[in-house]
Amino acid sequence: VNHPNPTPIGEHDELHRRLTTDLRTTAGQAISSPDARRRIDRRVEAHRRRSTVVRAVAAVAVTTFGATGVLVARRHEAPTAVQTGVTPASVPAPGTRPRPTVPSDAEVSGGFDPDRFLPSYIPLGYRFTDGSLEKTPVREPAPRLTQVFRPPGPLGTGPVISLFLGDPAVYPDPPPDDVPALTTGPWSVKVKRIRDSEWRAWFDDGPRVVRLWAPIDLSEEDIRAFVGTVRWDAAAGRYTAVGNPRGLVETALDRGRFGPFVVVAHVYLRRSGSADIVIVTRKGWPGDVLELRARIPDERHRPVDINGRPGLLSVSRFDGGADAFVTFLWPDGSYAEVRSAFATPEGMGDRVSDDELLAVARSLPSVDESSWSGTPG
Amino acid sequence: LTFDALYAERYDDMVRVAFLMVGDNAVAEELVQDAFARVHQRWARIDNPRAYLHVAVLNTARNELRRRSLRRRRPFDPRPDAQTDQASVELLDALGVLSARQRAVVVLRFYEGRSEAEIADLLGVRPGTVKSLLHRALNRLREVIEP
Repeated sequence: VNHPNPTPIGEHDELHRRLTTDLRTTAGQAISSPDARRRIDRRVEAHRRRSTVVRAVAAVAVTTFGATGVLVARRHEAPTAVQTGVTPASVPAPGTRPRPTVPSDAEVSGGFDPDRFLPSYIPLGYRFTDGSLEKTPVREPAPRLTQVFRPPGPLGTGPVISLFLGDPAVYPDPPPDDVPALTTGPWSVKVKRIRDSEWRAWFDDGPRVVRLWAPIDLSEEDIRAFVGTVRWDAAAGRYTAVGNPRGLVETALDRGRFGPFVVVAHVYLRRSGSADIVIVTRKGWPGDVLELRARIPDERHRPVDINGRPGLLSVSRFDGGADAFVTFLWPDGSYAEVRSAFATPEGMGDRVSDDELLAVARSLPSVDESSWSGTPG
Repeated sequence: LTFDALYAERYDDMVRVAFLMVGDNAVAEELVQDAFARVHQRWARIDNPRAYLHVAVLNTARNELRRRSLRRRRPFDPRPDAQTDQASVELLDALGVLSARQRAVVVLRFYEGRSEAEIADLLGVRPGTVKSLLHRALNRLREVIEP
């Protein structure tokens, strides 16, 4: 480097001498706290807890489809912003699959440091596992459908049943021998309770296995009655329910509202009945939330300040606490949410405290629509 | 080398370096503790914990100065304790005119006595950049300390 007025740095330079001696004198006046070691341990523990929560939130096994998927926080702009953030292992049909992209440093504020941030956007075709972003195995899409049946009338007035259609590759287990088949018209179906709120149904008309989620207070008779009304409508490519046993059945589908998106509704009903959340998902990408359609804040919403924006906070737990998420609602109608497990055999939400969920949520950079890189299929 | 040994060996030194960088004893401790926590987290994957810690402290100190700058505060706002002598207060004030990178170079060169090549390694820059940063820093300090 050619400096116009080079200044010698040497032993004879007064500034050099002063810096050499005075810097040491000054530095020597810095005092270390006697409990510094303990404070480091506390920080290590805080890091560990945060990291555990991040992984609990991010690396979630979506057992429904036998895939490791993620459902991370996303920012939703009212009223119909398109959002993304989920990477199911099976993808839409070839030719319609969005091209995977890895987020740039600019997109992921502060770099991709899983110890500090969940990435705000995980591109389709990738998953966030064990602290790193990796490409998901690509396989042919599994035929599946998510439908939600709820009673007619205002939301929150009755139980909700969700249907998930899987394929034998994902549900390799054969129909159980110890369960009697329920025959209704041309159908024969076996229903078995997998755990409190989850049921599985095997239909005899094809290689389909249906998974049901239902409120845990529904009896086996209720479930059987419900399943007995379900028919596969090949023309429509969906299940339909015939009749309305015990007021359980009503479809909440809202097709076509999003143009090229085939939309199904996924309704979560808070058990308390005091608040309802309707989440619209894209067909074929369960969990890929496009819109939160309805929300009734209740007393459990409390005012918070997230990244300088005052809003309301709600910690919701479903499925007996196994599924939990945090939502932030701002006055302009936009919101963000952080979910824990989408339901694993063990459940995860019940092992994550509200404060831990909040800590993760607060660490998230905001997401805007520019992060959407997919092409509507 | 165990983590406890690293702590015993390097904690005080790192606090001093951070103190020269940010001019605030309490903040310096916070930064160094955070750096140690990060080292602890990655302990199994770090080949050279001493170097990693050193770089972590320098980077966290520089980030702290950058954050202050973004908050439109004076980036280097020394808050020496009551027991800090007058000469040190003046020196800390003088360091306040330097950029974060210039300050890091001066501290590494004159407090730690490191060579330009070593400084370049620690800061992840070329030796020529170190030479340039040092030159400009000294010229700037000369204006303040020797008016």
